[in-house]
Parts: sequence; structure tokens; C-alpha cells
Amino acid sequence: MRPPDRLRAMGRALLFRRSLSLLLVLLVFGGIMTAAYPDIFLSRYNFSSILLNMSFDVMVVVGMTILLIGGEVDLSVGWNLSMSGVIYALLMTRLNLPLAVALPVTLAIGAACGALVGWIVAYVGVNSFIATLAAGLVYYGVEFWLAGGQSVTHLGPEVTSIGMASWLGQQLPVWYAAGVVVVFLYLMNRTKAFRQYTYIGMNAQVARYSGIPVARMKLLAFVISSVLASFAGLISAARFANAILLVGQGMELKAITAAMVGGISFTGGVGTLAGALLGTLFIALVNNAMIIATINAFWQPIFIGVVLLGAVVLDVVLLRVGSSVGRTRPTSKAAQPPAAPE
Amino acid sequence: MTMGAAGEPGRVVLSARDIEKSFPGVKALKGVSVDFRAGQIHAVCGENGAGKSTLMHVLAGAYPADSGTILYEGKPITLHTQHQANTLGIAIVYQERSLVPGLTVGENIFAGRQPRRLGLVDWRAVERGARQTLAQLGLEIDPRQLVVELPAALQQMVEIAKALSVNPRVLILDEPTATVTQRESEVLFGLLRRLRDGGLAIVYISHRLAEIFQIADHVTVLKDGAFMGTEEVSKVDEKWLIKRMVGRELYVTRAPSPEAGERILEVEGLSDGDRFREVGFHLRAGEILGFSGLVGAGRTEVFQTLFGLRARQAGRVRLFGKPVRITSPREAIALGLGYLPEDRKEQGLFVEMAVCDNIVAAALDRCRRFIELDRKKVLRFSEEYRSRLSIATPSVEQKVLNLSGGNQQKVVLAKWLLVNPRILVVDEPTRGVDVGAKLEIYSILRQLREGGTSIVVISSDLPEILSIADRIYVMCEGRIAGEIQGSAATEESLLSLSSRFEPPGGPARPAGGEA
Repeated sequence: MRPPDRLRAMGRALLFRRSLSLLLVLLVFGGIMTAAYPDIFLSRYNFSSILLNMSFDVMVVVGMTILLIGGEVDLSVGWNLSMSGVIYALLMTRLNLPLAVALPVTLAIGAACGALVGWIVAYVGVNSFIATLAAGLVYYGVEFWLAGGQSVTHLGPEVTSIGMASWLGQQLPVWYAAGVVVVFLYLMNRTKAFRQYTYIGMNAQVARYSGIPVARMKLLAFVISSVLASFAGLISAARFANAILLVGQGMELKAITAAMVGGISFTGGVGTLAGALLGTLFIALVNNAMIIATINAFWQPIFIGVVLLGAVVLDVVLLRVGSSVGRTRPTSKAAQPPAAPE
Repeated sequence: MTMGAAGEPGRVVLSARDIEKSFPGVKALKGVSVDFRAGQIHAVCGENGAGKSTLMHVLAGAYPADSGTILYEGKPITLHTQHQANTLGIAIVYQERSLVPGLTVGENIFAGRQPRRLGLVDWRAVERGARQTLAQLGLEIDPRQLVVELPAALQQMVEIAKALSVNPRVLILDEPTATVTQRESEVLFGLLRRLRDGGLAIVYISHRLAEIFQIADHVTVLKDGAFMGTEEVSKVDEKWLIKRMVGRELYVTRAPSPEAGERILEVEGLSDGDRFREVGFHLRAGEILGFSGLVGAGRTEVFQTLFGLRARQAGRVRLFGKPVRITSPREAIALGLGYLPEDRKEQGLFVEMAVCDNIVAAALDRCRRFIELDRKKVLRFSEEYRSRLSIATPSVEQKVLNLSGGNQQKVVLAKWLLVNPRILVVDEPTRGVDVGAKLEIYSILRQLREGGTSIVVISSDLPEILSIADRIYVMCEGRIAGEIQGSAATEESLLSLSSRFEPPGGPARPAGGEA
């Protein structure tokens, strides 16, 4: 390969692989921040706080990404997260259950909720947008009802034991998120079972005709997403010693935004978990930079909104370029006689 | 609007002169000339792929002819859009429904050109206009009723009412009885006769021969895009029609049928409660079994049911001697079945994915290393099948979208070969592929049989079935109409079995049409 060709190939790789281009943007962004605020941005404290803030988002993003790749969406994760924190706290404070019971029970409730919603979507055939929107409302109501409209505050040491400690200089939630990331990166990148989500998201009907267990895999994705949201919720309650009623509000949209900035498509089948995680990191860094630069907080959603729009516009443009450049011959639809309906 | 605007019966309203039309790889019309007259019903018939629909699309302005002239009221016209044809007075009712089921009858009839008052849709005028149109057609349909609530035949009537509301002189109907029962057809025919007597020129496309004798005044036969003759219906019989419809060259010479093995698939009394009933047949080891019949005869549905894609209502299936009840494609594949579906883009291929991802899609388990998907195996298998089926692609990592129709079909075939099924069902395996790829696909199927796979070929292409099947079942209206040895079968025998039964008028479909 001659050098210009290689350059062009690299250029195309950068353009077409969102994770690569996003990584580049992140590096440039990090460089600028380091140059502008060398003492603050690169400090260990700042680093830890970015990671801690990200860790709850990351767990939700992982579940959301699996669903989005499989062609579905879960709009209930935010309220699921809040409700799970409340359930966990109430199980221990009001029912005086030990941690060893409260933790698995909370996760089991999360799994059951995910399974029910997943069944409604995958087997009954309700659109996931609507089914999860409804589920989110239910979680929201249930949480307020259980908690009597008040956040559960001043949680005791047993409740917070799984959230408050540090290990190797990082707080526990960061390690949990890291664990989730490692496990699911492996599952999504390497395993046959999770590879099926790409097929399902690309075209669920073709996947079904190919013997891929579409409904079962979709149900599983809803369970995973729901359990991860539950886990993030109870860890959040433990870390902050409060089960705050509104802690997860808007989390679903945040996660979708991060995934799409990271190259996940809303139509399914496109993008990688690594890309979505980079998208999450990008949003976390932007938030952090705005705090450091003491830019008024309302600029943050404006900036993220613009970035998201830019990313999806780029996708649309690339799709057009890709379908006209990457051709071997002018074929596809044009080359076939329209199926004559005779 | 007024019905039957055209003048004295017998006058030529619309003519086609030497119309030619090609699609890449196919010459769909080879110089067709026909006259359509006011006050007459003119049937156009021919096999699947004969060019009937293409001719109608050209006459209705849906696509332009490559050469030739269309004369309307004696003057040559050039049609660029269907809207233009409508405005001139040529209306078409397609096989596929164009109505919006969730809207009312009135809204559908006036779709896109609602009468307005003060910038708003004048709903009273819509209702009044629709009521008037329907009354003129002698239809007792409430314009305020939702289309979805009407039985199939009445929907068809609304479709015709919509077409007639532009006040045309020519009405083109593309297989209008394809989805209605026989009783409903009678109602439709009554309407068509009334319209004819009102002076309308009606072009009626059908491949149900019996209907042509019931309703048409003239008939034109097309074969492989060529004009085979026009005659008054009263002067011809079914033999005359069939003789002109068939007689294409076989693609390949027949190979001698092998010794028939034991029965590996036996089906008895299979019904899905909807599209087919009481279907029974068997498949022997090492044979290529053909399933012939008209589109919509229920062939695809039978095999979709066997493959676990449709629910079965009744019937017994024995596979390799054991009774089975398959409820998902996954089970079917595990039991040694493969099904190459008829719709490549919607059922067969992940068009946005790479060739290699498509080839392994049904056999991911073969590319596994414990729980991991082994990319090396994916590439190795894909390369193997790419060269075995000589799939023309620069790389197996190329998106399928970029391949030609024939190569796309080979990718689907590769996908099913990799599953290594003991029985492979291929549904319209050569639809939309060029002749070269067709021959390659036939030789692959033959090789497969030599390798011990038994094959079922579902095809509407008669020469195709005749040249590769050892034994043929013909389906008609959801039932098996007959069984013929491949060597003894002719296009005539297949065609006459294909129209053996009348469309079911019984309780299988909701009866309707009190108009």
C-alpha cells in the first residue's frame, strides 16, 4: 500500500469508526483542558471525581447500549434506578433486613421488572418506547408511594457499607462500574450469544428466519438493563447515604445521548459498546470542564445537545457518502427489476 | 362525477404500439401492441414474469417505456407520472391495496384532493361526494365507515371507487380477485359489467383462466414479454390460452432422477386455519421435489409452517421417521431443516452487514469456541463458501448491499449450506437473478443432492420446476391439486392443475359483500 493510500485508508477509518474519531476528540479535548487548567484538570482529586460521577451513568449506558443495538430502548431506567435505591434503603431501615437479603432482593425485583417489560415487548409485541415509558411511570409512582413522598435519608453504616469505602485510591462505585464494563465488553465483543444482538437490531425478521432466538434475546436484554439500573440505584443510595427520590430522573435520556454520541444508532444493529462508553466519558469530561471553567450550568445541556445533533448529522452524511463511495459497482436496488407482482 | 364518460362502445380509447421495456438483465416487454376499446373488458394473461404487470405499469405512467408509443384517444402521449395518467383519464388499481385502513371510506376516496372550504377540508363535501360515487357504483357502503372494518371485497370496491373518482375512460385492474373469495368475486364482476356497459374501457389482468371466460370480451396473451395474440374470448377456449402462455425453453437439460430413497419427510392433513388446508405430501431421500402453483396458492405458507415460522392448526409431520412438532426456526434447523425464504431483502439477508456476517448468520454455533464467536472461523467459512459458490465480491467484509441480485442470492444460499441441512427448502431461489446466476444456482442444488441433501424447490417459474424437479406437487387455492413425475410433467399439465380448484367461497375467509 502506498503512503497516500494508507493515509486515505486511515482517514476513512477515522471518519467511519466513531470510537476512533471520538477517541481523537477526547485526546484533543483533554490536551486543551490540561494546557488551560494544568493544576486542576489533571489532579488526582478531579480524576476520581469524574470517575465517581460517571460510574452510575456507565452501568445504565451498558444496559441501554445492548438494547439499542438490539433495536429496542428502555425509557424506564431512570425511575427504575431511583425506585431500586428506595427499595434497598427501605428493606434495610423499615424491615430491618440484613444486607445479605436486601441486596439480592432488590436486584431480584429489578430482574422481575425487566423480565415483565421484556416479555411485553418481545412476546406480546408492544413497542418498547411505549412499554418502557409506561413502566417508568409505574416505577415513579411505586417509589413515591413506598417512600411516602420523602427521600430515605441518613442511612446507617450497614446500608452504606457497599458504597462508601475506597480501594486502591478509587471509590467502590468506580470499581463496580469497571467490573460491569469489563464483563460486558467481553460479552458484547467476543461471545456468540451477545453478537446476536447486532443481527437482531439489523433486521429482526431476517434474524428470526435465520434461527436466532429473537424474542428470548430481547427479553434477556431488558432483564440486563433493568438489573444494572437497580444495581446503580442501590449503590447510589449506599454511596450517598440517601435514597433520593429523583436521583435517576432523566438518566435514560442521558444514557441514550451518550450512546448516540458514541456511534450507536437508534435504528439498531449499528455501533459498539466501547463507542458508547467513550460517548459517556466525553459527556462526563464536558461536564467537568464546564465546572472547572466555572461556566454557567445552563451551557452544559446546550453544548451536549449541539454535540448530539452534530453526531447524528454526521451519521446521516456518512451514510450517504458510504453508500455512494464504498460500492464495487452501481448495483443494489437499481440493478434489479422491480419484483413484478404477477 | 359522472360514470362512464366514454363514448360509443367499440371505439379504441387506449393503444400500445411496439412497447419495449428492459430492466437490467431482463427484457420485460419485447414490442407489445394492444388496443383497448370503450365498453369492453379486455383481459391480459400470461405466466408469472410474462410482462403483464410491466405493461400495466407503463400504461399507467408508473415507469416509462424504452421505446414505442402510447396512443390515448388517437393521440400519442408521453407519461412521466401516474398522476399525469390519472388526469388524462387512465386509472389503475394495483394488486397491493393503496387504502389507508385507519381512515374512513370517504377520506380514502378523496385522499390527497379533499374538497376545501376556507382553507379547511370540507368534510361534508367529502361525505356527500363519496356517497354519490358509491351510489353510482351501486354500492351500499357508508362513507363514514373505517376501511379496516370492511371485508376484503368491499375494500376492493372502495379501491375501484377511488380510481373512478377521477372520472377515467380507462380502468386498469391488476389481479383484482387475488385476495377475495369466489362469492365476493361475483359481486366485483357485477360491478365491472355495469361499468363496461356504461362505456368504460376495462383492462383486466389475471392468471386465473376461468375468470377470463367469465368476464372478459377480449383476451391478450403475453409470454416472456412478447405479444402472443389478441382474440375475442367467445372464439377461444382454455387450450388456446394455455398453448400461447407456455412453451418457454428449459434452462437446462433434465438430469436423470436418482433412485428414490425412503420417505424422510411425511406431512399429513396439515392446515394453518388460514392460507392452506389438508395438505399432505412426502419427500424422499436424495430427491429434488418441486412445488408449483400460482402465487398465493399457499406453497410458501406450508413450508413456513413446517419451519416453525407460522402456527399450525392441524396435521401430522414425520421427519426422518419421527413425529415432530416444530415451533421455531431454531428447532427446525436443529432437526436438519433449512429454509431459504422467497423475499431476499426482508427475510433472507442483513443487507447492511458484511457478506461474511451473513454467511454465518444461521450457523453461529459452528463458529463458536466455547462461548466466544471465533472471528477466524467466520472468515474461514465465508471464504470457503465464497469460492465454492463463486460469489463475486472483492472481499467477504463487503456489505451485501453492494452485490448484484445473483450474488446476493448466492450469499443466502451459502448461509443455508453452512447450516448443513439434511433437507433444504428453497423458495423462489432464482427470483430477480440473471440467467447466468440461475444456471449456477441449479448446479449448486444438483451438487447438494449428490452430497445427500434432499431439496424442495418452490417456484412459480414453470421451466425452472420442469428442468430441475424429480417429482412435482402442484398447489391450488391452499390445497394440493396433484402430483406429477418430473419427467412426465409439461407446462400445460402444471398450469391446468394450478387452476384446478375454484377459489374457496366457504367459511375459511370472512364472507362479505352484501352490496
